[in-house]
Amino acid sequence: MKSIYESNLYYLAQTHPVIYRTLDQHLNTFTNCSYELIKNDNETFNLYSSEQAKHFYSKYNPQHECQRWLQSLELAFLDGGDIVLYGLGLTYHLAELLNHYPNARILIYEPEVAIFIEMMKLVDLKSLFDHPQILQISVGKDKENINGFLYYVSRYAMLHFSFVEVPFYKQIDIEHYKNFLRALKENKIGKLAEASYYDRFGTQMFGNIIRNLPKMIKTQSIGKLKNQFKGATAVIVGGGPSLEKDIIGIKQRQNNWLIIAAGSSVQSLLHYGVMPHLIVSMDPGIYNTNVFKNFDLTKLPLLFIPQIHHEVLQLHPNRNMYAYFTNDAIMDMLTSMDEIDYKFLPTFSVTGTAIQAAAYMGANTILLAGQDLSYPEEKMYAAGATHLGNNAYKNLEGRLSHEVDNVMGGKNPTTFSMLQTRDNLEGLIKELKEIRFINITSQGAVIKGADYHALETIILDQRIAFDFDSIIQAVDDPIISNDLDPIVKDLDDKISGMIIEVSELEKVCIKVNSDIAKLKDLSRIQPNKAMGQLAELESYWAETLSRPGFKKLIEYWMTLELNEYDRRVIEIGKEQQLIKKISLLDEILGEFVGQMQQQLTIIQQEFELALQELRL
Amino acid sequence: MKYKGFSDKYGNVSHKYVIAARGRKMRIENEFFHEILDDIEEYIPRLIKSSESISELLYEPITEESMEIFGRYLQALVDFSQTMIVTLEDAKEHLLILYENVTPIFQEIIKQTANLEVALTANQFIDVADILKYELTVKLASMLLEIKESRI
Repeated sequence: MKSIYESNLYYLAQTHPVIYRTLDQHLNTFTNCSYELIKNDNETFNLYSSEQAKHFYSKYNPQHECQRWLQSLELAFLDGGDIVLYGLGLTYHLAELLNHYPNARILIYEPEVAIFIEMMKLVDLKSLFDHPQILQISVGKDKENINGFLYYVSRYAMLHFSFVEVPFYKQIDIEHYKNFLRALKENKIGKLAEASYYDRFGTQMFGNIIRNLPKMIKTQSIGKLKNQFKGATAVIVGGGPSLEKDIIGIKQRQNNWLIIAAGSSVQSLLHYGVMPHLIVSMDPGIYNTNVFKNFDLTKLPLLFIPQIHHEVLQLHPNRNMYAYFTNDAIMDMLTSMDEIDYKFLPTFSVTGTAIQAAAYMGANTILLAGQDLSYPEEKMYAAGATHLGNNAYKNLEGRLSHEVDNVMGGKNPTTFSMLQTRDNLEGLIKELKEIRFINITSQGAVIKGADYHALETIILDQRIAFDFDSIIQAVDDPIISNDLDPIVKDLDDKISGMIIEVSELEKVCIKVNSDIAKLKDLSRIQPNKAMGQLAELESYWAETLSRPGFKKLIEYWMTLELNEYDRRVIEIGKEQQLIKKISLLDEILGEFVGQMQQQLTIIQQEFELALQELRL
Repeated sequence: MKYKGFSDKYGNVSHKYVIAARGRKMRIENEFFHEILDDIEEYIPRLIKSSESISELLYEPITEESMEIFGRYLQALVDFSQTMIVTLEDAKEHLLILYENVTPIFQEIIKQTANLEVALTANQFIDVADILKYELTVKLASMLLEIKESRI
């Protein structure tokens, strides 16, 4: 007869190959056990480390110890939420969590493979993994295991989950604990940022991409300017309040530096009489159009990203060029993105796009001006900015709840989202190792990777003279009609194909809704038949999820709804009672399919409008 | 504040015994010796209760507040031990049977206190809590019983 450990090992090999591999690797690498199981006086088990000569649980009553631990957490979260548990140990802490929070869902990360192996000698893993409240268990400190766990958290956990740790894991490896916590925090911020971005722009971003496509294919790309200004110094100008002080210095050097206006900062530059060589814009929101309505920018070249509000390209119809974002699934689907190299990393602010454009054009020194990345003296923008309404300024006051170091050695007030923007920008700077970054924003926040230098101390390198106005020639260069024809035809075919695919998906929604309705009736009168039909529906829905229209379109267009669906769909699988299962199916899948139907109508309209324009 | 089991009263009591300890050289009156034993008898149950309460705090994640409370408790325990040492010395003259019966138990309490300090230095708070809840309280209770029985 197999021991519980052997059964568990077999179970892992069959059902959880990633954990099994981690264990196998550990067992082949470490022959000595770091931990051992010992029995307490009350017949419970304890974990002992001979290396550290210590027990990890109470020698008398581990359950009581864990009850006390739990009581200390009680005020921190409410039942019904998701809990990330750092450390599984011998499962005493987990058992208390499960008993005390019967409605919580728990995602477990066990960093210590050796402890997991000891636990396997006591606990039946199948029951553990099958427990309806346990969403995920990941084991090991390898990057692959951690990333897998974080992906699961970002995909399936609620946006606001609670984090708890089994206390002794901090004593075992505090550094790993801190790193994990940092990664989890970044993951959570990423998730919040994604949610807030989708919340702000919704599907508008995708609608813009489809709507902009017909114009885009008749426009030059930034590819024409690759390394055009090799060795140049570029200034990425933001609209921060410091610009008022720094603008004179920039004006004096405007012929020596490639001046790029990051988004709405063009308003302030024009206000002070500085003509940028290039405007970079990407915001999908309608307010972005105000910048182009309030000023005549038609003579200035514009680099846009396809998600830009479609009216911007009507207000600024010429002198345009484009670049892509690496995560643009719709462009990926409708054009051939594989062969192009002007794909930029999406960043939280347009400054990141402008930096990548400058680097692509060959700049080796990038100066950051008007990039306050905070709110010195509680100001939002330099003079000249008029694109936001008064409400934006009123709302700011309430959000200035953070502080950040400024370049003058003091502190600037800031918001949580601006802190994230700065972190994100610092991440990009770290990536672009070949470029020297200098922060010349005189009142702004400290930016890691871009030391502050007062503008007047920057020495001009005048050995090479660049003709930055050649950007205008490049964007004005017309695309030859013969070159365009096959591209237009290809796009027409793809959009027409997508319109058909969208119609097919609409039919899927109708069928799924009708099947759910039938199942609700059937589950009460003919449960066996209902089981069979449920299996059929499951397989039909699984096929739908792998349809190109779903994978390439719906997964992006309905990210938030799909996240919510993914998060809840596990409940259907874990429900054992048929009637409840069908009821959950109706509640979760039915709701998602309803939302999908609404969105498919919008998508269809967007594609039809794009097709009309393409055929003009 | 979660914990209220250990009051400053104990500090005053221990102070009283420090004074008593100083006066020992002059040899204390039998009546005063018994007064001290009365106080000790009255005090040990409170010490047991405090040990239990503090052990519960130490099973929870450690906070500054819990460490502060524990620090005060530990000081009180040390003061109490000093008082016991002096009182047991006095017992040789006033009540030999008490000296003989209580000393072995008290020696074990001293050992437990030493173990407690070792665990504390190694930040093994669960061990500290175990010693307080499951070891020290048991020994304190038997010492109290022995003191009472020796005085009959």
